[in-house]
Amino acid sequence: MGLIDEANCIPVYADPHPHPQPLPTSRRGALRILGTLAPKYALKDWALNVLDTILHSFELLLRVDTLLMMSLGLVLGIFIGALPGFTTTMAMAVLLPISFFLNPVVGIPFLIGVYKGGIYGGSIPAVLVGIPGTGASVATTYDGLPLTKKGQSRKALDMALAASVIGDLSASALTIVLIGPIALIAMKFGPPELAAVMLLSMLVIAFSGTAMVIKSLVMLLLGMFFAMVGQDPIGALSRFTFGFFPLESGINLLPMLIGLFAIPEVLLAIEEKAKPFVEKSVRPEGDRLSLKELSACRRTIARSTIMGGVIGMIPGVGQVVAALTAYAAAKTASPAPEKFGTGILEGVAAPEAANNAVNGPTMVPLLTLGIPGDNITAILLGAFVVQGLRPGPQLFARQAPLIYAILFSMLIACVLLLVLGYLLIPLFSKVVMIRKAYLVPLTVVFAFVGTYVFRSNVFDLYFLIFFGLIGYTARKLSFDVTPLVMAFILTPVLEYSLGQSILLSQGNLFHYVVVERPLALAIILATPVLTWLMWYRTRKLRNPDPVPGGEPATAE
Amino acid sequence: MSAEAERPSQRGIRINFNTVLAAACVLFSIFLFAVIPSEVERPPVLFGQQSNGLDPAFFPHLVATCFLIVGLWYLRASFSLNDVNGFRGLKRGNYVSVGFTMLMFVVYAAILQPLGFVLSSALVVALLSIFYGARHWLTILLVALGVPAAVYVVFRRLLTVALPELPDF
Repeated sequence: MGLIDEANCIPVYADPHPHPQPLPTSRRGALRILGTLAPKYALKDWALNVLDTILHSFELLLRVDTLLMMSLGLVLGIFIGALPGFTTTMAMAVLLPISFFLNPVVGIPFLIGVYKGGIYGGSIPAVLVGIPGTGASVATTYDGLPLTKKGQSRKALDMALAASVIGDLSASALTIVLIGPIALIAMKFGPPELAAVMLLSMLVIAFSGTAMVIKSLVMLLLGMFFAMVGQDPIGALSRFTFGFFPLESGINLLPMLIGLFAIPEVLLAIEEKAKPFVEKSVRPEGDRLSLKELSACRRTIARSTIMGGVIGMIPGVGQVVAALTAYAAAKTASPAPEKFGTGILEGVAAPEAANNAVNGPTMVPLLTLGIPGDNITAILLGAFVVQGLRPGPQLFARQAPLIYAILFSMLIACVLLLVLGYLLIPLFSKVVMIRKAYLVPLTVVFAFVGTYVFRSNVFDLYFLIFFGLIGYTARKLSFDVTPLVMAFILTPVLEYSLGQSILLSQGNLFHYVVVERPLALAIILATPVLTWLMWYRTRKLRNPDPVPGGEPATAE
Repeated sequence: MSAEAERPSQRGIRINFNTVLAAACVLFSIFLFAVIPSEVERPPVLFGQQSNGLDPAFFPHLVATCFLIVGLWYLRASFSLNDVNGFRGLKRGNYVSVGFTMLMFVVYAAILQPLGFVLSSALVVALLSIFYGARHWLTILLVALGVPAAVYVVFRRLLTVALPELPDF
């Protein structure tokens, strides 16, 4: 946090070249009132700065176009999430390019809307037809479908919506409170610490991924290789271009993201031609959820929210594990565990609160350190980078109001989700009847146009196809593409930070790290321990009761 | 991967698709070691002094070495892996569908600029829809022309982004 120029009430951030503007009268008044109330100067400065950041973020955020695009994102997210076989990650990848041409406080909340809508949308077919729209809704099918068979599908869908919104809203609010102090710690990081954190993150992602460790390591190395194609990040020297001109500028992140996350979904969908997602017609029926029924599930929702929030902060674990773990915990804590699976509202509330509570906390490592914890935050990172914003400690120092505006947009998105979800549930329940024969070709068009518009370079389309093929093959051969994407994003940062560290060390890196950078040394020493711990914990979370031949929970 | 290749061999070692992939990793690492000298540009020598910064070949060497180690580990582990090869469950028709779609992807990439966005997209959507079983001509026409046209208008007018235009006939 920076200081306040009290004479003019001008915030001064930790930007080396700040361009402060006079505050509007309303904000000056609010700051002066707080200034008189705060007893100590240090506390006053801090409080004034926080308040100013928050007020400034609301100024940025409260625009009609932001709310409209966020609503559109939610509707599109629920629509795609409600299609069995189409994932939230695919929705984000295909719709990502739209955000490039919008203001950051419009484009990124639009994607946040898609994200939240997609995770919730998966619960609609999970309840109505017992097919999870996204992986995150697998546990919702356990009690969702039995409730539908009892004629209480509307109640189940309402509970899914309410639990999703409560879980997401609480976890997002907690994220906003916690992210500032975490960012302050991250701001102390120099190149050696950053390099150490990058290495730790890459290893944690590989070891806590959904695939086997050895396969994740192969994907990690493949991602590192792709990141090296083009120019090295320090001297801009050519590497692995093989005399092919389009490779001179390196491989672009966008064709990789859309190729890995959208094209495989298309290819998997078309393996079986033409069928609609669901054969029979479905529509919500029965009474709506009462406040009494919602209140009866408050403990389950609170427990699941906490579990989802904690799991969300762990890189690479995600919604699927959160939902399954919360469902198991709710069953264990219940006085009548035998009723789980027979169609009770708690069985819907637990996974839905947990999988949506993951959404907010995944932003913590992304925004404070620039480390995406999963595929969705990797896509969000792409949106930030294209907007000229590189998430990490420096962005927090220079653009704190923008970051908080984006964080507050998560809360607004939750409220909009409640309204839109409540009103549009009957409409979205019909989505599952759409024929793949029309939807799949249109997805192809969106993937191609999204890739093309970024640089208007036709070679990006061939990269898209190439990465689509890699993604499809990876899915078929049980490889997880997340480590590949993470390595592709983090390797240039790691290499650059290491290069800077070597220059700072004046030729003796070992001595420099051991003597002058104790934090970097601590992170390096903790890396094997933390990696093992994360591997052990995630393995336990995924397989609480090992079933021979059982499939592990797979992330989207 | 053929059925013969996945059958346990006489020595009791199960060669499967993981074994092939692991061998590919090892070969790829050897390939990287071989091409690094020619494919990684050397930093310029200024005033007769080498740069004391990070060598641009350091990371390529690191990745190649790790590929070799991980590849050998994977090779050793592959004999006891019981992963399901997702391609084996596919029927001929599935391969045709995937192959046709991939072909359409390449065709789409090739014709996008010469034919313009709307025309090329309409062609691809119509062909794919028919291939996947859509038979209602009016719907096909509406979807194939209507959606690309709407996307074109949104990108051109609202987002002010240039998409390839129709050619001058």
